[in-house]
Amino acid sequence: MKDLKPLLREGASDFERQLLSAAMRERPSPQLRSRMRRTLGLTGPIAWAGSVKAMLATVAGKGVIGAAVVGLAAAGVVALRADPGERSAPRTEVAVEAPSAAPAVQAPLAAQPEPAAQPEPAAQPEPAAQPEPAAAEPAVAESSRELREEIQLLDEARSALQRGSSSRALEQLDRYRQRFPSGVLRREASLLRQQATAAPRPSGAAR
Amino acid sequence: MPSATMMIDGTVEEASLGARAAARIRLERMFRAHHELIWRTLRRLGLSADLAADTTQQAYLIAAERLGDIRTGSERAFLFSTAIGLARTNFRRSQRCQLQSDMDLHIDPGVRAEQVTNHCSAVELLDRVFAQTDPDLVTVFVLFELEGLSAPEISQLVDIPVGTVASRLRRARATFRAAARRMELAHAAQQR
Repeated sequence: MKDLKPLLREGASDFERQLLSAAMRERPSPQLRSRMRRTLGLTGPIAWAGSVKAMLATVAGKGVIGAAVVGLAAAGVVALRADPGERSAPRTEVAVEAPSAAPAVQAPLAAQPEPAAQPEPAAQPEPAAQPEPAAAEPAVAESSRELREEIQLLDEARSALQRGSSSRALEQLDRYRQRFPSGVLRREASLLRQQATAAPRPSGAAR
Repeated sequence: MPSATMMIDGTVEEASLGARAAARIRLERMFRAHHELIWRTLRRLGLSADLAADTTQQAYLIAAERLGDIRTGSERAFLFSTAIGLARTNFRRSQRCQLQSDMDLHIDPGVRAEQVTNHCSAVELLDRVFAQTDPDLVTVFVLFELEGLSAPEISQLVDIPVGTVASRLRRARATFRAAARRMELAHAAQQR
């Protein structure tokens, strides 16, 4: 296998070369690329234009949400396989980082300067971003507000946990559960709850 | 009116904003680095350009949700595995677009010599070869022959031993070369 070289470098006939070269040159059209970027919220200055919930709702509209769940399961396997040494590690890092991974944008956020303002220089020219369709904005804004609230509640719970106040963290998590029984970040909430439940109570705390 | 927690710890909101910006930048980097490879692989597995874009997008949406789980350096493996899984689950081979069920490996009578060198025709011809090939073989073939990945890289990406990569590549090459030869002969016959 070590000695094996791609056909294009060695041994391909002219006809094979034509087929392979054509496939290598194929790229998503600017329209498709732009569409992907829009859906992922990678356009505009603060471009988390839709929450994960809104984006997954778009995906669901295409009838593939079930697959996303399957994909998530598969992705989890990949993440674990990436470092077998951490296979049995507690998922505290997930609880710490996952909420921040959830993209969200709202009016108050847009008013603030963006941290680490622009992404790295493009390795390739990207097509100009298309403006978001105005009709989708109210739903996206509502969804983003909800996600922001979810993030805030979990941030508060995590912060309380980091200060050693597991009871305060559990209060916040109760609020989260009541407010968002099917929230986007419910897995993270569940992990935080496990941590809060397992956390040692401060000395002097009522038993 | 800030919440009690916010008053106790005023940095919570800022930290959250910073983390979200960092997450976005990471996702942006992942998109630029890997979306073409994923899209192209999905295309060769038989998805239309549109469906390949949708599936690529889905893989990134899942990555966005699980960004905290993805170890640095494992982004491509995560995205690729997720995209392949989505493609298999949702679209199967029955979803092959732009291909008719009665297409065989022979060149269309309507395809003239000059069209073979046309980019679209060449891609279509290649896809006809792959339409008849086991997707597992196609995946390895595409990654090695078109994307230039090494056997160990493919092994990690597809989660199979290096020896399996080698055997799949051999079989895929044999299929590809035989089909290409048949097409070429058919093409030559048309010229006479």
